[in-house]
Amino acid sequence: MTTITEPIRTEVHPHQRYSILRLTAGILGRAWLWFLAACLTVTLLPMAFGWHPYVIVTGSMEPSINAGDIVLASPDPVIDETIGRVITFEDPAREGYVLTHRVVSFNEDGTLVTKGDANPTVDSAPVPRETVTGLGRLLVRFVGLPVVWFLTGNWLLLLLHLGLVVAAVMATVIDYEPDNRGRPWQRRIDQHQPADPKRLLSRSAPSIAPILILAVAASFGYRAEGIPTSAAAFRATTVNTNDSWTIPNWSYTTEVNNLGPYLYWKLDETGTAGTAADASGNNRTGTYSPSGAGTNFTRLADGGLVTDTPDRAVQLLNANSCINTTSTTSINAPQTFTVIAWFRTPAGYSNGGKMLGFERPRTGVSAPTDGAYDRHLYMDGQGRVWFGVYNGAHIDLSSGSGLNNNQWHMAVGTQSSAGMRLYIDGVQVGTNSNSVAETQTGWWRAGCGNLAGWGDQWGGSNDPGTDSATSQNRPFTASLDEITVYSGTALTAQQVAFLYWAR
Amino acid sequence: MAYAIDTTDRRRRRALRAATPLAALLVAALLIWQGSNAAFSATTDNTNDTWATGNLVLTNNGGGTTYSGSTAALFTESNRKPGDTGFKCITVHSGGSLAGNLRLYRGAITGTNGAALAAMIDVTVDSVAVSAATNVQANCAGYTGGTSGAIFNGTLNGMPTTYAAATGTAVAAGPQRVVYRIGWTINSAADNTVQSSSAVANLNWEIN
Repeated sequence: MTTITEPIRTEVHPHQRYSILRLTAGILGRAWLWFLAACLTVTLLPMAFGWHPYVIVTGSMEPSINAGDIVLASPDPVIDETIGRVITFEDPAREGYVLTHRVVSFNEDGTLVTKGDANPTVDSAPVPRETVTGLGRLLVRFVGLPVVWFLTGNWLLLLLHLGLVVAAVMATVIDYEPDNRGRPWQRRIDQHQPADPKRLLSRSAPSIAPILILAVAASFGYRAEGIPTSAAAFRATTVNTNDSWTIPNWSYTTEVNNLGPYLYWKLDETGTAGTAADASGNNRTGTYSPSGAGTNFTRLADGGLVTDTPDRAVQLLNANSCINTTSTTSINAPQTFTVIAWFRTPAGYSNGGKMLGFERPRTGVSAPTDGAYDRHLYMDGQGRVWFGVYNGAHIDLSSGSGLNNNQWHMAVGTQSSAGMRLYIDGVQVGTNSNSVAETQTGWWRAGCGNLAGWGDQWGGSNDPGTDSATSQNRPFTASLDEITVYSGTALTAQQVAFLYWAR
Repeated sequence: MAYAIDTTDRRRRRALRAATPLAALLVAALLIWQGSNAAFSATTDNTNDTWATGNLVLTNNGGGTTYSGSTAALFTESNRKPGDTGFKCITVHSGGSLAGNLRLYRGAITGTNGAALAAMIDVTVDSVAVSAATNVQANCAGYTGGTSGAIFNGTLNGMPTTYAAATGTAVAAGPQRVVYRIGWTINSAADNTVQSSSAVANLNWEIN
């Protein structure tokens, strides 16, 4: 009988047939963990020199930089040498975001033009130099993917990733066999309890620990950076080009004529001209009386129009200076009409006077019993301007304040079925519902005329009184321009405003 | 003999385990070097026609029927005067595969006395989303949105000039269309010094 047992070595024979699966898993696990560790180290170590890691979270730099890559940027780059290179900068379009894009060019003001490689156009907002935080130096691919998954809520992939790490750790731990050159007590333990995970772990700890420590450090490191993600944002633009709004140099004269005036005396005459031309083309001329120039009229070079230049005007010098309709044929006074007069008086002028009105007779001052006079614009002794018609009583509207201030002003009176309106310098200053003026025949005239009876609200000197039984000629011994009458048309507030604006 | 073989295998396994970290480090280094080289080498050739994860593409119809990245002026308002007013519509098409935030802002104002005139042009901007098959043209036929100036209400001069300053409209992944109604009025209070003036500006839409 033989009691000799097999040598102890035979007991390890099962271990000699080491599972190829276990070995492969162990190798893969180690490779995976070391790869991760290496990548994490590369992203963390440069932080010691002030470099910053940024996890790219969007894909506008594809294909060179993908979401999930980590960009390491060195601080304080020389801006002028960044053309064509990738920089990190504070997103000018969105506060609090860091952007990683390529520098395309510089603007004249020194700001940078950037562009995502995958974007068809450059970034719309220029990048100020002081907002550039770094220059891209190292790109560590894929390592930031867990961060992207975390930010986008891709929990499945995140769990898969964590599971893979755990599996790699497990595979590494299990892939252990006793070292032949190990100490006897170690061999014994391993031989007796080769699959005890606790012991395996304790033996593997020296190789696993650095990796785990690194992983923890990495998470803390990124946390310290405030999860430095960087968008490489997608952008697209479209443009509608050269939208334009144009205001031409509107001609007051043209616009007045476009509205179809009955007569339009621009009073642009020069020299000794005795006839006031009718710019309306209707040939309803006026006559300067008693004569065209000299002691009765001064021809002015600075008329009321500003942009419709050169514009001339006329200054009436004497009590008998007047501009009467040339035609001796009287007309029926219109019930719907517009009267326009531009005027300028010396500052403090207190003579008042009629600027424009409808009157009979054609020249001179109407007799108390025979004459008729209304539809007029006149100034009182305080420089206030009135628009009045006679409808059984004196119906008038006032400018309210004096306009005798050495400035050109535009007075417009309208009457229609909608009532009367008085506009000063394009702005309506008075209105009433009166739509009827005196039924009469006569002629339009400018610069003089009877105002007897219109003194009921007159202020200041030269009051013509309330008695219409006497003749009270009130010449306007100041400057007139752009005398216009519309017959059958009451200009609207908008038209009046526009005419004044186009002056 | 079997023992000797066993020892050899074990040595090989140990060598393999020892070599694994080195190989992993080498691969990591290679990847980082290659990636960094590709991404950060100075290059100006950034043309790219392919997008791996998605993209944004924006066009507009210029008030007509043809969509293009750059269209001719929707507004050519000549011979205007104070009090003049008008409106037109333009449809913006987002054809990308990503969602985004669409905003309208103006380009620089040019033209004779342009800034002064632009300060006298009141602008209202409203928008409404429509189906990708709808094409609203300049006359706004089919526009169903508001007119109160929800997107912008101010002067042409005061319009935002950057994406950041503009009011946004959320747009889902394309194809999507948004109709913009742009109303304008030349302020009645405009001084007559803006005569002989012209305000010219691009209208930019950006999505990101």
